[in-house]
Amino acid sequence: MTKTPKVLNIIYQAVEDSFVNQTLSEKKVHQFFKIFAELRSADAIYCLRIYLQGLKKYIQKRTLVIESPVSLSLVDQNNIRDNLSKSYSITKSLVKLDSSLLGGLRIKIGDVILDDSVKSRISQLGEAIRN
Amino acid sequence: METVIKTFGVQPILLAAQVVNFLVLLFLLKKFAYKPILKMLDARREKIALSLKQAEQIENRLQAIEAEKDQRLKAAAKEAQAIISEATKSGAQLIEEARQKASEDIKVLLKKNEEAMAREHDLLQKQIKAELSEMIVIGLTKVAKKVLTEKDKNMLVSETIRSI
Repeated sequence: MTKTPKVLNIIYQAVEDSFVNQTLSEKKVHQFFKIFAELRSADAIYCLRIYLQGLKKYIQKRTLVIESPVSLSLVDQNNIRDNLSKSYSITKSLVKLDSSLLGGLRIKIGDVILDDSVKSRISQLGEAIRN
Repeated sequence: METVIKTFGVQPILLAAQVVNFLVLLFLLKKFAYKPILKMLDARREKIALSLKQAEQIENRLQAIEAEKDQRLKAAAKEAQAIISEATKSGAQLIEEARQKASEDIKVLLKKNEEAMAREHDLLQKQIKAELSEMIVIGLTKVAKKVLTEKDKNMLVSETIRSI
């Protein structure tokens, strides 16, 4: 099988179809696994590798990671998630404690980073002085 | 006449013989003495005339050579003067060119030096800024760690949540 953009598009479509209402469907994943596994060994390995990477990226794009120097209440977590859901599709959220932030929050959704931490502000100040 | 001849005791035969003798002597002298001497004298005169002519020719040639020498000397002097003048001019031109080149070289060198100094200055400034910013970041981080209480941190978190 030649690894053309067409093949890649089919795999990416499979990744999209593996999610039902922004949630990963285990049943669909099994189905696609089965389809890819039926291909020749080398093609199957290639397609499964790209498919898994796509799934990871898809999940990562929709995962909200909140980094905070203090523990957040559920209300705060929900508030953040609800506010960001207006602009981003979020399927999963994680909260991480990071005392080095000193204050404020650092929020990541896929490749998007919203950094309002004191550490970031100090870094920005340092950068401003450097430039 | 006869009286005279008798008075002086002239004997005609003897006189005739003497005349003949004289004529013979004259003939012999002319044949063997005067002619070679005259020939020798003529040759000598011709030789002297030739020598004089040659001397005159030599004199003329010498004068011509002298005149030519003077002319050549004058020409050589003129040429030498021209060469000296040209050399002086060339020397002056060379000095001027060298001066201009040196001046340009100095300008280029000064410009390069200024640029190098400016670069050095910029580099130093950047280094100072980098070190200063690093010190400020470290200092502020340490101060924030000491100063910020849990209450402050919670307040900052709340502010961030409100700003989202």
